[in-house]
Amino acid sequence: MMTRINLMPSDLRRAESTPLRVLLPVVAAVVVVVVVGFGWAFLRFGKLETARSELETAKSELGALDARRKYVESLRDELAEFKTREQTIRSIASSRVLWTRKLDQLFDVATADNGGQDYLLWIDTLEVKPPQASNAKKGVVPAETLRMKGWCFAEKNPLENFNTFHRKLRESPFYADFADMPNPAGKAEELDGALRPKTAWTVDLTLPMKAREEKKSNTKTGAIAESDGRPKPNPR
Amino acid sequence: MTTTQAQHTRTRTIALGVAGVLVALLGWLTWTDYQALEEARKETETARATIVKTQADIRTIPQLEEDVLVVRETVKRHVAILPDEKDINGFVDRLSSFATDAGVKIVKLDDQEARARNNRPGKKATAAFDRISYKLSLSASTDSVLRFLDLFENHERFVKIPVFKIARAQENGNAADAVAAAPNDVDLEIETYVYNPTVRTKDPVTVPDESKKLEGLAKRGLLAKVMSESVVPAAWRHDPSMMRRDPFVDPRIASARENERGEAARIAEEAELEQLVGTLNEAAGAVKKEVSERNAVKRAPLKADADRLLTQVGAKIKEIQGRNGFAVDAVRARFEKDVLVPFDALVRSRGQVLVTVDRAHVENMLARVKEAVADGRHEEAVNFAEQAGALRTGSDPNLAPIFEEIADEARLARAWVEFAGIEIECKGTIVPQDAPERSVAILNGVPVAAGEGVPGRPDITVRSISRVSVTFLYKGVAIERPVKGLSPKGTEPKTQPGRPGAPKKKN
Repeated sequence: MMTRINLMPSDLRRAESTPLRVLLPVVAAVVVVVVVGFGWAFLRFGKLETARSELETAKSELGALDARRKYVESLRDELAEFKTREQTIRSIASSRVLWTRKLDQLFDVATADNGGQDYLLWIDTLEVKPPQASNAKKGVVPAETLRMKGWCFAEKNPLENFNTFHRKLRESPFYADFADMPNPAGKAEELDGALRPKTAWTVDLTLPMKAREEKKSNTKTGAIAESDGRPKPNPR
Repeated sequence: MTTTQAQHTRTRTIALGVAGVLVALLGWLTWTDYQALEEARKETETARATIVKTQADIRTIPQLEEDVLVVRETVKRHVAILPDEKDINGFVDRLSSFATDAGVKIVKLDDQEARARNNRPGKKATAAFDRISYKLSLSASTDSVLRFLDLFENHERFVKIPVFKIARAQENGNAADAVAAAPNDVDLEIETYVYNPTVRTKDPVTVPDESKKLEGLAKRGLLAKVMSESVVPAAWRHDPSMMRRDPFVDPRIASARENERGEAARIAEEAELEQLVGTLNEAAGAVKKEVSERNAVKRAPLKADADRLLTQVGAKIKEIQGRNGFAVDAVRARFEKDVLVPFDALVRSRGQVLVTVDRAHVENMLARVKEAVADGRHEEAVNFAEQAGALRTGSDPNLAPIFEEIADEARLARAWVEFAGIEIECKGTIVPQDAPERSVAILNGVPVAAGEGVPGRPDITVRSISRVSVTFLYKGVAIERPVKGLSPKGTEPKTQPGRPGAPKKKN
């Protein structure tokens, strides 16, 4: 190997250039750093700042609308609450049965006995029981049950007379509000005492009322439009 | 390797190392900032969407405010049917007063729920509606029970009777003594509700310029619609004057009483009635003489005589009614037909009033007429209306609007009755699907369009035509007839009443 010795004084020596195998990688590294740096700076100080500024703007816009938004929510809550109350009132109103009317209708039939020729009815007890809530369906007001006990007198054939009463009751306006009437059943009994006739058919009728639909808020719940073709009362 | 080369290598290594670190750092920063950028963009998008939605919601504020005001007014109006605190506090007094009016004896009263409500801590309500019930035991005749129930069901405040039991009185065994007015044992519950407006799930909302907005709603007619709606169930007035036996009394007792009176009693009652009929006939003759006398001087003593006889008959009728009328059915029926009705007519013809007509009675008659009309029983409606009309003369002028309403219903019913007897032959109708306004009906052989008169009957106009029916206008009443089965004289049309809004009812 040849050894090179430079005998020139140092101030006269030619400066040595950086070799390419050092220069190129360094320059490349610098370029890469600078490019990446610029990229980051563009992202950081350009895009991200813009996006954050837009977000701030949107948030402040939203903030400005917040009060109105809360007002809308409170109006909706108020509306829902009052609609519930309105519906409750309608349910309360529609749950009522006018028992004076029903009793008038029932007694009209019970006493329209053609002077005792068709039947001769004597009511012992009349009871209305409350609805069974467990049977209630949604949107439907559960209904009451009416139970009537008594006797139907006849000289000869009490079952036939009771059938007549049963049929008349079913055909009367009284029955319009009831869901069902059991078929005539019971037994003939002889009653004590001096009054005549002594023979009677025992009356024990249990009549469930029709379930009433809950009235919706935009309908008129008013008049329960039912007719009353009242038979003429028996002038007894 | 020489020293210089080593230096160069070291320099290169250091430079590349530093550059690598810097690139890694910058890369990480870039990645982080990119994530932040994506997040910021997403947040911005969400915020914008929320803004759009909020702005859309804000645009609905005027409608929401209207809806809130309307529903508040609706609730305010509807809760008026419920008792307020003052009514609840006085409820027991009201109960007692109704019992007195109806002739009912209260044996037991349980107002536990009402007292519990009053005793709750701070008297603070916990729900918007409080249900309050009173349990009563009564001793009352059947008629008194009905009147008691009637008073509550027609009370201005909402009250309902969810349960009750009526058990007949135990007769004391003697048919002659067992009177129809023997009291029954009655158990019932009376229920009502109180509205607590201050109980709220959320804070109440103040609508700006509320009163002004309410005025606007009123002007636009939105509140009128609310005000016209009613949640009050249809009323029913029990007619206490109705002659009807008590179904809780052994029906054989009346017969037994009648039999016990026997033939002598029947003869005595018949004789009494004959005498009364004779006096009434005499009074009718006197009235006739008075009316036919033109001379005022001569008429005066005739009037005095007629007055005397009418007063005599009136006093006798009052006496008979005071002792519960005649016991014999046939005599009672004849008394009503041959004495009461003609006497009433005679007295009214002289401008006097026999019976004080009360509002409840007239309202009951109006309800009957309306039900008969809505049910299609038009002839019956006309009869009811005529009976009511007979009561009008000399009645309280304040009842005039009710009588007018009865007269209106009667006009409608009469139109129906008359129309039922009119023969209109309809061979069929032609209803073009694409131009229903050009429909025609073939009436009495002639095609007639809507708005035209019926051939041969200028007083009847065709109002509308469908495939299966024709609606006519007769005397201001719309009457529908099906195309088939038209026109046999006396056939009642089998369709809905002509009154707008009248519901179809079934027996």
